[in-house]
Amino acid sequence: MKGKRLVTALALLAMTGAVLQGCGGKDNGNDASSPSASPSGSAPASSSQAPQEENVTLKVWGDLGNQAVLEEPFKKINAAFAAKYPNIKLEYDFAQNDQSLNVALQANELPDLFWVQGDKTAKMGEMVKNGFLLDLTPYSLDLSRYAESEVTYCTVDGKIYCSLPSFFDTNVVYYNKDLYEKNGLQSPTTWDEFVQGLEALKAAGLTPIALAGKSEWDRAWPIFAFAPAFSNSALKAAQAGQGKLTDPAVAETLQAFRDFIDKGYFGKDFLAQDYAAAQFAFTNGKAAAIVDGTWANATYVDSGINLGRFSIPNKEGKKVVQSSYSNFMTYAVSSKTAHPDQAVKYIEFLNSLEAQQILEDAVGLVPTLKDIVAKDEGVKELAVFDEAGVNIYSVLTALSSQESNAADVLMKDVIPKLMTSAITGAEGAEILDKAAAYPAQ
Amino acid sequence: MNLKARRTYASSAILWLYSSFTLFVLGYMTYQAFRSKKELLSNTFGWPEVFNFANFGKLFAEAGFHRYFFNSVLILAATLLIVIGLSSMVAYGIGRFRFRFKNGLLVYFLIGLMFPVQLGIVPIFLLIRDMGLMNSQWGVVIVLASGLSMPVFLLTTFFEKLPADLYESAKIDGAGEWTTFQRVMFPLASPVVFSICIIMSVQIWNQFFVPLIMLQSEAKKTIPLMIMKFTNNLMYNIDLAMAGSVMATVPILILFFIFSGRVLEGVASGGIKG
Amino acid sequence: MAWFKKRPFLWFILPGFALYSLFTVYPIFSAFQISLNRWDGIGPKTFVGFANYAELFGNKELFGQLTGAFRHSVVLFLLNTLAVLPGQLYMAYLLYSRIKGHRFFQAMIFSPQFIATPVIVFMGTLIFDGNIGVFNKLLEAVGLGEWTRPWMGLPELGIYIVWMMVAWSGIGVGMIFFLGAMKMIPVEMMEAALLEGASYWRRFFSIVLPQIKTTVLNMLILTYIFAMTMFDFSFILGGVSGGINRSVDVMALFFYRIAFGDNSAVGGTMNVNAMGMGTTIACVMFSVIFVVAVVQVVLTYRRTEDGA
Repeated sequence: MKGKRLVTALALLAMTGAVLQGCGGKDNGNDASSPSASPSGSAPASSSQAPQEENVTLKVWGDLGNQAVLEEPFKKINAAFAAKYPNIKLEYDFAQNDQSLNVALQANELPDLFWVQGDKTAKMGEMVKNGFLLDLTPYSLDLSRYAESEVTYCTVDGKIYCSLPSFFDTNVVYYNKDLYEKNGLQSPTTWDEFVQGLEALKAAGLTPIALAGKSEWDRAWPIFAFAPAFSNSALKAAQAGQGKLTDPAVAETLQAFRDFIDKGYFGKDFLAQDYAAAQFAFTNGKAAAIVDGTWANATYVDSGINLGRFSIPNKEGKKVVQSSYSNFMTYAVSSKTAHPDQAVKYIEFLNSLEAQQILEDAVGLVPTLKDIVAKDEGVKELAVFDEAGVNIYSVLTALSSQESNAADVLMKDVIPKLMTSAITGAEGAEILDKAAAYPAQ
Repeated sequence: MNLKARRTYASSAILWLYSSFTLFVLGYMTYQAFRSKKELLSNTFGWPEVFNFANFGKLFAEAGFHRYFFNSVLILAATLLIVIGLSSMVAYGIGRFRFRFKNGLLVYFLIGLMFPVQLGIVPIFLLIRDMGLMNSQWGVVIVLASGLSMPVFLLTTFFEKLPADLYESAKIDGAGEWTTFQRVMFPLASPVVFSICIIMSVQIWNQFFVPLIMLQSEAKKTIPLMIMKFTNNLMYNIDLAMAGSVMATVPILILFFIFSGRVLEGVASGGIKG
Repeated sequence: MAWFKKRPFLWFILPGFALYSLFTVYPIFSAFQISLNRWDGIGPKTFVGFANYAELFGNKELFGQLTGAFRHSVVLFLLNTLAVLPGQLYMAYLLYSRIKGHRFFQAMIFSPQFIATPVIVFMGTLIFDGNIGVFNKLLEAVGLGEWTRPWMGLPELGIYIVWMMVAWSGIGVGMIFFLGAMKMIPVEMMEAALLEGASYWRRFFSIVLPQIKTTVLNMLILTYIFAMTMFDFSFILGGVSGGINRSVDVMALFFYRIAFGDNSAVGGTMNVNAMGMGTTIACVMFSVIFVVAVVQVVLTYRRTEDGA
């Protein structure tokens, strides 16, 4: 009977799968087992003398969205940790994204440690407010290596809730050195030089800058880069309630974007391109440059083009860049963990130079701390700037209320309208101003 | 019996065109999987400099493709067995017998399709956790196997249409309800069951949300999660994404080509005998 | 026990019913209960009765998004019904009659189902992109250079591009069902028609179609439900916001956007009433689908009871 044969076949398949799974299961992801050569620890682990030697297992959730990038370094980091603390076993899984974290929060099934985004979003604050995170202040973490803004990242209501960020994300212009040199251009030192260069590239028939018009975040990077260059102080003032977003500097930022669109500096068909297409345009030599985050450095390096990077200079020739902290190493502890002391040991380890250097060597991010050695010249080039400026998205988020989200208005309303040449920079600034809720004086 | 028309050239041509397009897409994907990352990025449309298996090697060695594959197979086989078993029973129950809430029950089973699974995930999560099946393929199996809507819906109409005399003659021969079902009615449903098997297999195979929430450790994850790992940072992993997609598609496709021919042909003896 | 013996159908139905009710139906009630609250998913819930529903229909912005998304979902349904369904029937019939190469066609038509949706979108870029796409290169090669376009993203075509990917990916599903249904047509019927001299297409319209009528109507219901709940392609093509001017926004994406918010490496938003409003949207989505599906089911079954 055909039916019977099908059933038997399926059952056999299932059993085979189960058996093989059992065999394969022995070498499953307990990354803490294989010790690897790790640099001798330098920063003293300021831990309280924990006399208990009981074996403890900690469940840690890693960043699923960036698993491909973080898998290698965290294997090494966890191995180094295991070598240091043989009685603490780590079950590190890449299991966390927005949805799985939400489910864990609602079901009250948080792992012992998981990564958070600090003050970049309202989420960590919300979690603290509802008692999900363990207050780390009583553990007297060694904060000597860190600057104030890094501590602020982790602080809610004066208390510390996560390991501190040691890397820095910003947006730079990646450019094709061959194409630039062929047109007699080099890395610009002033804004005008930058724009002249784009004009020359356009005349040569290239797309000066590739733009991913279809991708909501990736098309905003130019604005994120222009904002601190043009309107750093204006934005800071607005956030403090001492200025408004209608400040001409803000309008200038948006207008610069609009001008690039009108003058064709982003090419003709940017509205049709998604992020992959824009990247292809750059890596295939059709576009001479692309504005992207420092986290994309590795991809462009792998493409094999003669890669250069520069931060956008403002009119005075100063490079003020957008800054936000990387959340690759910022983890928090669940308030319901059964092993708070051991969990904090992991936090301390993430705060140490040893762990941070491992991540740097693998991923090549821009370090904020002086003692982390940059991976290579390329990474050093990413970090060439004069001043760390504001992140326009954070400023707008700070100026948002429950009724009106100014940051959303920028991303979903103002930017698309600029891209289709429907509004000017000044009009865009007006719209943002109306959407903002300024703090009372 | 020759059911062919003598003049189906136009239709034939259309099919050839469409299939060639699909074949081209698959072929292009496979072709790109043999190129190095550098080439893919800098010379996307072009002839390969080197035709190598490096991507595939990396896929198995570093990424552990075989583990994901076996998880996917295990979940597929177990879920399919349960779904076919339960849904055919339910469909038979609703279709064959007359009782008061028949239509209501049918609509009840349709409800499952109308609701986004992401919303109901927390109660499901809690249930699975309480059953102790967290981070286990069996948790995923149970949740996926509860998706009976489509098979029940399609099988019910089939069972309803079967002529009553077959049923009567089996009863007269002294068969009980269950035996009738098992030996007479269910086998008659083979064509529909096979179609459902094929469709459900693909849906189960491609599932990613439920495994995402239920399976945390790498060793338990399924193929769609592996593909997702690559497509999250697509350009950075473009070589593995291509190779992974090829490995996740082509072998299954070849299997499908071999079996579907036999399966659907063996069923061509369709219709009810005498 | 006698009560059960008299109703043997209960035995058949019970196991499936239990599993289904527990894991599929119960969460729906749970979600409905949440929609009566104001909740961001993390903190405490506040009971607000039907206020969320009032807000969804009253708030201009939200309602606008709802109708826009609904409109796109309906467009998908109509396109699928008018273009894809007939296509599936057409191809199924050709394959049923063992046209030359039918095994190859069958595999090719169905194969896109095996490809993960992000990969399909990516292949779309690889083939149709303005710069590196194969299609444009082909046009150039045959001398049609002026016809090259950035195919992937002419913004007005947003939802149609989504539809094309949905269609290409899913056409095999319906086709397989129709093929299976056709194979169940009694052989004698087809033979009789042949003897009577009915032509190829005549046989299709007078015999095959009526015989598989129920399957077709079932597929219609399933197509409707699927079009209303489609998510993947819109998400990948348009991101969480549903594309420029929300051109690819659909119901399931609208729900996702409200419930889970929008996040990136440099920041994100968190809706204050994420879960509350999210479940409300899902319940509205569900009711819309439910009502129409019930009407379709009733019509289908009424007809088969009289006609069959």
